[in-house]
Amino acid sequence: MRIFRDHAQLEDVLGGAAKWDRTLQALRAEERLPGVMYSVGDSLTTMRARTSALATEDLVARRRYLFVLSPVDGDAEVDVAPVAGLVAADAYSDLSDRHHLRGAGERRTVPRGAVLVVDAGEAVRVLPAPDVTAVVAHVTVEGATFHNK
Amino acid sequence: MTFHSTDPAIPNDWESPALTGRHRLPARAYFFGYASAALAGTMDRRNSRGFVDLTGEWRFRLYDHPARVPAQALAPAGGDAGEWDTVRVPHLWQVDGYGRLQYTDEGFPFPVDPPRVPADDPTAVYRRTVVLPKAPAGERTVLRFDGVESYAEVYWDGAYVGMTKGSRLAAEFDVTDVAHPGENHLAVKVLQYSDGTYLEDQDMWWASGIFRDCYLLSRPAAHLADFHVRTRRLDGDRAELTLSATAAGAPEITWEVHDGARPVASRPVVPGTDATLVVEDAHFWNPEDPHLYDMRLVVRGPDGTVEHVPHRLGLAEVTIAEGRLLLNGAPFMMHGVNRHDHDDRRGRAVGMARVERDLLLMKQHNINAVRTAHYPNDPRFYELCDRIGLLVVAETDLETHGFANVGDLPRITDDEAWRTAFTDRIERHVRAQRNHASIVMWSLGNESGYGRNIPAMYRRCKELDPYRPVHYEEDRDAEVVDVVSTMYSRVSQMNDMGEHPHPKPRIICEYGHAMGNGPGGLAEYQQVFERWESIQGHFVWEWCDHGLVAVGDDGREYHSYGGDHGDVPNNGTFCIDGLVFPWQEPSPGLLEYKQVICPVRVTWADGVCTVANRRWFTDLSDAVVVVETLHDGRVVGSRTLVPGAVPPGGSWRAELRPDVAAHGETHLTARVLSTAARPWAEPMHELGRYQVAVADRPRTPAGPTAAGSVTTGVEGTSLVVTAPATGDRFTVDLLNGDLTWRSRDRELLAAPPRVGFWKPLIDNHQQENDELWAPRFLSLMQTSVRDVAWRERDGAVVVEVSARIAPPTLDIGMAVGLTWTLAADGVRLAVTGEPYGGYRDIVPRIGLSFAVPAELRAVDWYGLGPGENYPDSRAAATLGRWHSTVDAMFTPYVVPQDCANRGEARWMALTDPHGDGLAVRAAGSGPFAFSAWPYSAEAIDAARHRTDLAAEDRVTVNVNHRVLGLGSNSWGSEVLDGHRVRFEPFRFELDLRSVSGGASSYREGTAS
Repeated sequence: MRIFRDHAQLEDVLGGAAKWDRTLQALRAEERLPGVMYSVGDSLTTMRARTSALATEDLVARRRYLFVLSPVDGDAEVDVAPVAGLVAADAYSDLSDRHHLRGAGERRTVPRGAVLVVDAGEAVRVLPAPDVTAVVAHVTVEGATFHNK
Repeated sequence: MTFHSTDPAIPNDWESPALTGRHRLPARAYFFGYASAALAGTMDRRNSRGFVDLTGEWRFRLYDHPARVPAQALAPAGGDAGEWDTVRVPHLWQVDGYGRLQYTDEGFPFPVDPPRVPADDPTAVYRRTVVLPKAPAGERTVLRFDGVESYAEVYWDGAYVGMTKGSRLAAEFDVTDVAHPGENHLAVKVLQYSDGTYLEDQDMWWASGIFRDCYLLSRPAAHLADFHVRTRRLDGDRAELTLSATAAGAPEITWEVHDGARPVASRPVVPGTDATLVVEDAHFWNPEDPHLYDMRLVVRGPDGTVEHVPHRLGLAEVTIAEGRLLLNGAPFMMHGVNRHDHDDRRGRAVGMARVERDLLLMKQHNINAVRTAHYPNDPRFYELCDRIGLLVVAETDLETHGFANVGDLPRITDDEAWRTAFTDRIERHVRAQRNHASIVMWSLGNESGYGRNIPAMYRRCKELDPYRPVHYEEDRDAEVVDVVSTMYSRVSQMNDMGEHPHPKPRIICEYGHAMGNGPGGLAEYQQVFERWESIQGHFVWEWCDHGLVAVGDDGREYHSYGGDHGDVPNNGTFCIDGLVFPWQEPSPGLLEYKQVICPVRVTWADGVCTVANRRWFTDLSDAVVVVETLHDGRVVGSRTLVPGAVPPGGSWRAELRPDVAAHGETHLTARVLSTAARPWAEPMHELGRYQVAVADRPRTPAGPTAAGSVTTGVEGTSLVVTAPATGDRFTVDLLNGDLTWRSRDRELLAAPPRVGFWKPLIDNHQQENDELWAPRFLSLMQTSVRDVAWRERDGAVVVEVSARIAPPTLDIGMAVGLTWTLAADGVRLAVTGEPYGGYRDIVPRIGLSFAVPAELRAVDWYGLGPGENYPDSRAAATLGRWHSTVDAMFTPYVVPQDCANRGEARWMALTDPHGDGLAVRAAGSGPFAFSAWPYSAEAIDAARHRTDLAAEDRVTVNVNHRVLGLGSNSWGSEVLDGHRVRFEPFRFELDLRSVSGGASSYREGTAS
């Protein structure tokens, strides 16, 4: 799990790779409809939503897509934990790339404008409060050679 | 008249994008006028007024530069006739051996310098004579081309008639003023490249010529100029038809609609105005019930001539309500494919018989939609879709993909100077095809980026057809288009977008890249598509391999692809990516797709069988379900269920309690059949099949074998084990652990069993190979046997082999232990693996390979079949007892690669014509997968064409504990996590037996 203090730092560290450039493009797209999932090529899907709508009871791990969250109008709270220390609540699904897990996570605050990147091997739970607007993205773990549609 | 310019200030006509044609008639609907009602009833354009077929032999000459075409080549005399070749039109001249074929996916085959194309632009001249009768006064003679690539100038008796661009858009010229009774001379100058080429970079062979039909037709002085008819569904199964028609020389048109012989409605229409008719008790068109009315427009001239224009009318209205596409008010999903025109002997000059067979094959495989990737088809294609029942995403002739190579995909899409060129292409397309019921939406093109010319195309499209939705994938967020679309989005991405839907309906216009063996993962995609109602269409890429027939030095035919014609640069085999082989037979991928989109679902649980209707428009009156009970794969009972008129979306249940086997496995297999006779299928055509496991009860323990004990002896560095009762003799090399097995006076193993992780690379694993396997030399792993020990136990001999299997240059590998138990009744092999080093990612397989003598070619098995199947492509397979041969099981992919896998095998046997051979049975580790090839893995990997494979004196057998899924990552989805095989610890066990008299004598089922 990494928290970049702002988009510029994300760009400094990860920019230049197509999927992260597209992530920045997604984070900066302000005209999109809230609650609607868009895609940027096949690098990622992205949505602007309230954290109250993103919140889950379980921690959620993804194997093929990294979970990215960037609060827009306030600080967001999340729990993050390594998958290895959690108990499966259901089986991993290829259909949703989600694995619901139970257990305790480390509470982290993602400041407004910062960018949270949850790695494969970690699970995250977005908390409903504070209820702020955030942009989320599911960014492929596929490497540099994947086709760039 | 020539338009080749030597003044750089005056561009050539073929390098002037704003100039889309000269003297070309305005685009209009595709129709023909007939002199009588009877002739019109034939709907055969050859019977239409003044129709002269211009296909067939033309004189032909190819020049290497437009300016090298001498004026006399276009004149009636034509120069020295002896220097002209003869070709048969339609054709592509490169396919006929003139010039050079080239294949690229997206890169232009010349420097990117729009609108300029190479100065030495290959240029052909076609010539022929046309003998015409005297035309009635006032009649117009029209010359029509349905497809010329990419730029054509037309000359009649040496006089310049006009010019056209837009290779796959019809072009008509009025030649009345130059045509005359008797012999006329027609010449067509065709340039391979033009500014239009920048708009036609469509992932196909670069080839050119008059590749579709051309003909003459006559229009009387009073004639129909154009018409547009559309349907609106009214309450109570009534349809309102609106006709806009224009005519010349007639103040009135008669509009008639018939349903077979029954008149439905008629009325006079004043040309230039809209007229309406209402059809009561309307029989609406849909792809499941493609009912067509006969429409007739009759134009009577003051001179007494009558023109009858027939049209097959489907009552179809597409609307969008609350974010859903509706056809005649009902939602639907398009189970589609992307189709290029392709014939393996003619390229894009595809005949209508082949086109029709394509469409019938689609229907036979439950496909209900086709995207015309990436250009309009022959006009008769749409008529066939109306008649057969296929929804069409009708794409126009546009793709500028090559600009991606210079990092500027939208370069001309966002260039005002190209606007006319863009809008011309949608205008001509819509005008030509908008009367077809089958067209469910327009598509503005493919992979051309997004820019100002896209909204311009959309607006022009809507002006011409305000009713149908418009699609264009590169308008990613559906800023202007009516349907939001992506391509190659992964399964979970589609789930994301379905879960949080866009206000506009969604399709995935390309996915499931069907290159070589694959695609895998279609079933998971389908589950997501069907989970969310906003997802209303999915189109596999693509329908047919683009391989072209070539002949090797030995006279054998193979199929060529990029690079086989000396073409550089090229994209190699990327055009070999269809569900259908170039010879127009289904691949295993098409059979898989057929099953996952089967319109009738059958499930069974707790003694109840449920039949669900997944059609959108029609009931299940024609469906029967044959449910078979299988005990250990053998059919022991059957029952036929008749669900009756289950409505769309409905389901039907019946109690069904199968006879459960006392021992072993019980399965139910349900085969869904349609009793209806269709143009694409005989009655009792199978729509799909399902299987469910009912029970798996312990088997009767095997009784003691009568074979007795084995005897042992050491000869040099070999251990020799003999079974006195059978005469079988095993020899184990005590240095490398290799096993030989002599049985019935024959060496049963032509190569000893070895553990392996590699199998011939498939196209859909190329990226994994590039990124993971090739850098680690997985195809070159070496086996180093560190220890071989043996002991006698319970009348058998146990041999333990310790080995390390690892690639060169690296410190990763697998420590493998093989335990051979050599007994009087055969062999048990237990294999364990423990990885070392840092690699834990995916591998192609974990398994065993060996070879058997060449005469062991009959294959029997109890497992998934009958066809090729893989972990993520097994929907079409059911457990059963199947029989085939090594040769029949080898799938003839254009580029040889891993194939023939059969999964979930409980046992398999390879036997000779006498039934003698070798059997393999799953032991404690569960079912296995197997394949048996007439060639070695190395030979398959090395082959680039089927004819590279040479007959071998052995059969290669692979018995695999795990096999990696296929995925579709030649362009798209990697293998889903659930179908991955990792380089991780493993253990499996197998029994090997020498058998006699065929598999029937082999003990059935898995070990208890």
